[in-house]
Formats: sequence, C-alpha cells, structure tokens
Amino acid sequence: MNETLGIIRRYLEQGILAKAGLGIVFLIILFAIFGPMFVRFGPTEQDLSIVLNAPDSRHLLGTDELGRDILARVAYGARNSLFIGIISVGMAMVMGVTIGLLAGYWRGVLDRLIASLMDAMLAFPPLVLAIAISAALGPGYLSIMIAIGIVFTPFFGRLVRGVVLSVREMEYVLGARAIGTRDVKIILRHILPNIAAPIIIQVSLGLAYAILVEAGLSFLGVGLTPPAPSWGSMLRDGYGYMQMAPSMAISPGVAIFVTVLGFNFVGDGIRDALDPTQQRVFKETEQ
Amino acid sequence: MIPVIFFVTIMVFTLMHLIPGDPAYVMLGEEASPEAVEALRKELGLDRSLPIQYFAWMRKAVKGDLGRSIKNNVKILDTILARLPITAYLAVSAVVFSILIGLPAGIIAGVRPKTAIDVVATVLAMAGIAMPSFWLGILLIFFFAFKLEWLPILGYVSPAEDLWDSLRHMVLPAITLGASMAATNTRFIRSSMLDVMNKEYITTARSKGLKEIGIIRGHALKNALIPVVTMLGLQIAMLFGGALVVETIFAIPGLGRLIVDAIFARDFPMVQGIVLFMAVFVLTANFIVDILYSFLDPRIRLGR
Repeated sequence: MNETLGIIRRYLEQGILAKAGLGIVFLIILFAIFGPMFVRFGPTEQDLSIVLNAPDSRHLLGTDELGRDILARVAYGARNSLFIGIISVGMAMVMGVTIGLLAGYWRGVLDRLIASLMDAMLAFPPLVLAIAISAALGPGYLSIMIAIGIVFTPFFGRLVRGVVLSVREMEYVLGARAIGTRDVKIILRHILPNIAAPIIIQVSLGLAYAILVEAGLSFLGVGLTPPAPSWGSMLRDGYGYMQMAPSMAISPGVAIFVTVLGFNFVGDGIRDALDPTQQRVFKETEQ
Repeated sequence: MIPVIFFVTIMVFTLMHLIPGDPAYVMLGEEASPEAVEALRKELGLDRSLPIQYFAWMRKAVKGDLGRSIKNNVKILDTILARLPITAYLAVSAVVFSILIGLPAGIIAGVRPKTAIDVVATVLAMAGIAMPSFWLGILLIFFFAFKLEWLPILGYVSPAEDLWDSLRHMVLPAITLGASMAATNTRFIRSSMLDVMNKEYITTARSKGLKEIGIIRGHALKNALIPVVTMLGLQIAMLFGGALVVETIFAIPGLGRLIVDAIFARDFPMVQGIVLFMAVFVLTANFIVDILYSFLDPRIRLGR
C-alpha cells in the first residue's frame, strides 16, 4: 500500500506533462460517460434541412452532410473509442500475460514455440494485421476488439516473458522453489507482483495506440459500420467536405489527438514514477 | 527465423480461411449454378482438406507463385512487385524527412537538456506521436494544397516521367508518413544523446579542452546513433502500416492502396499474398538490421 502511495506521490511530483495527461484522461473519460447524456441530439439523428452547417449556438460544432450534430457524434464516438480501446487492450493483456508467463516460467520447447509465434505476429505491420483480421471476421464491435486485441498480444507477451525470465532467477523465487512451493503459488505470489509495473505502463501506452488503430480501421472503412459514430469514420466523411464544413474533419481529429496525447503523457509519467534510474539521468543533467 | 516464417505462413493461411463465403462464389457471382461452383472449387483445390491446401499453397509460394487474383486473374506476385517501387519511393521519402527533422532536433535537445529548445522539441515530438497520420494528411492537403495552393492535392507521378513534378507530389505524403517517425526519432536520439553525454569519455574529452562541437561529432554522435539503427529496422513495419493510410488519402497506387482495394473487392488471395509478402519483407529487413547492428557495435559481436 505504502509503495502504491509512493508511486502516486512520485507521479504527482513530476512536471506539467504528467499532470496534464492525468487531467486530459480524466476529462475524456467524463466526456465519454456523461457527454452523450448532455448533448441535445442523437448521434444518428438526421435533419436534411441543416446539412453542413457551421457551428452555432444550437449545434456547437456544426452539422455534417446528413445534418447530424457533430458534437453528439464526437461524444458518442468517445464512448466507442474508449470502450473498444479498453476491451481490446484488456484482452491483449490477459492473453499476453498468460503466454508470457507460460513461456518465461517454464521455458524449454514451449518457450521457443511461443517466442517464435510472437515474433511471427510482430512481423506483421500492426495496421495490416488488424485490417486483415477484421476483414476476416466481418465488421462490427466485436471483430475490431478481437483484431486489436490479437495485434497487441505479442507486445504484452514479449514484455512479460522478458521480465519473468529475469525474476525467476531471483533468490526469493529460487528459495520458494527450494522449499517446495507449488508453481502456481510462486507465479501468483512472487512473480506477478513484479511484472505489474511494466504491464501498467504498457496498458496506458497501449490504450493510446489502440485508439489510433481503431480510428485508422474506421478511417479505411473496415471499422464500425455506419451510421455508428466513430472518430475515424467521421474523419473520412469529413475529408470530402473539408472546404465546405471544416469542423467535420477537425472535430474528430482533435478528439483523437487529445485523447492519444493524454494517454501517452500518463504512460510516460507512470514509467518515470516507476523507474527511478530514469529520474537519476534527469537529475544528473540538471546539475 | 525459419520457425517464425512458418508461423507467419500458418497465420496468413488460417486468417484467409476464416473468411465466410466461398471464393468460388466470389469469382463466379452469386447467380452461378451449383455445378459450376463445384467444378471451380475442384479446379482451385478448395474441396481438399485444409492441411493439403496449405502445403499446396506453400509449395507454390516458395517458388514465388502466390496465385492469381480472383478479381482480374493477374498474377499476384507480379502485381505486388509492380506496386512495391511506388511504396518504396514513398517510404524512402518519409525516412529522409524523418531523419532531416529528427536528427538535428534530437541532437540539440539531448545536448542541451532542460532548455527552451529541448522543451519545444519534446512537446513537438509528443504531438507528432499522438497525431493520427490520416488527420495530419487531411490538414496538410487543406492548408498547402487547397488554401495556399503550393502543392498538388493528390495523385502520383513517376520520377522517371517528370522528376520535379514527382517530388512535388511526394512532399505531403512523405511528411504525413514521416511525421510520427520524425517524432519517435527525435525522442530516441535525444535520450540516446543524453545518455552518451554523461559518459566518462565525454568528460575526458571535455577535460582535454576539446570544443563542444568536436566532442559531439567525434565522440558522442557515433555512439548515440547505434541504437537508432535498430529503430529504423522496427520502423519498416510501421512504414507498411502507414502506407495503407497515406496511399489511401493521397491516391497513390502503391502496396498499401492495393491491399485496401483488395479487401473491399473481397479479393482474398490478393490480400493473403500482400500480407505474406509484407511480413516476410519485414522479417528479412530486421534480420539484415541485426547483422548491420553487430558490425556497428563490436560489443554485441564479441558478446555472442
């Protein structure tokens, strides 16, 4: 507990970027949860009498080519982006940690097989693998989440495997094994707590990246099916109306940019809070 | 590397066989008679078991035969090889841009940490990483092509046709694809420089009275750039992924555009061929980078 408090304290002691990141992420989550409740229009509500309108007091970000309220679509899009990001990174974490633990702890043939499989998955450009998987599974929420989840699994797997390989040789693990502690207990009690820190960092940076990949898939037209609001597909639609209604492309773009920036700041902040050696480099250069 | 390639082929094969719908129907159209579909299935070998289909596919792939498109019957490998130079041209332009920006920015930020210029470089780099390439591309088109009319909006001109026009067409796509790489390079070179500048041999060089610029050029830069080579290797995969988006926005007929078009055309043998080609390309490139790396840094070679 004290250790957790220490990490939080070290996080908050950092510069403006870490604090700003926390603020941004907090606001985005609030926006995704409560935003849709406060907007006056539904995300798919069309009004063909007001297409491509500039922002005004009724439609704060203007309207799109079907007269839909852009603010409403950005708000519901936030929900979709965060939801897909969290579930897919969660899936990647569970799968990656499991296979990373299996490979790192038992080593041998299993390790070599898993390591080769992970290397194979990393050979695919992330967006290419994601687009191929979601094309194979068909459109929809679930297939995007599975696609991004699979793409991110080796990132977690590789990370966990590496940490486990070094932790399993630590004296306290060797000691536990020497007194006959069962493997499952060693993994849960001694190894998992040690790999928590790098996993948390990876989750935060992974969320940023997952949101980018989801937006990329929707932008290319293989993400959520229209008219479901997604920042990526809004950008693609807005691209065609850049001259007439710039808000259509600018609004979702800003939303993606700010969200990804926020999660990146938080990820970097947690990494610096957890890794005192990195701090030392900074301290030394300050002198 | 062999087991990795084996897994790559298994993944590509499995993925494409998960797709619902029969390729024979895609080729013949929905109104085709069951007999015609059955005959085509037999001809394509789709009536055989999956492992047999896999080995048949692999035996051909090893010989460079990736099959034919089910849309226009062209040879898949020929199409890929025809489009590859265009994507390579785009990728090289993007890498050049990322080095032109990332190298000086990273060096200055790393040598003068905690100064205004470092803060500006760091913030810009963070922004560059968070900026989705498709949004950046749209904004660049809007400002430089629509508003200022400095550059052409879309399209591709071969450098063999008209070099100047070709470069003008390539500016915005290269910046779009290279921006996040420039940002990553800046951050990476900065931290690498920071690390090296604290080493004892730099202190020694300073105490000998060498000029700062000489220290950076003669001692720091060489060592700081070694890890950057690995980054370049990793970025090849990112370049292919980015090409999907950038080639779609700017209407460039490269490999990225080819795979996106193939997905919408449900031309799955083509998708399969391109995905396999890209993965093997990335693996080979990384292998070469590993070898380069050990040449650049004798410690790695001796460590093995």
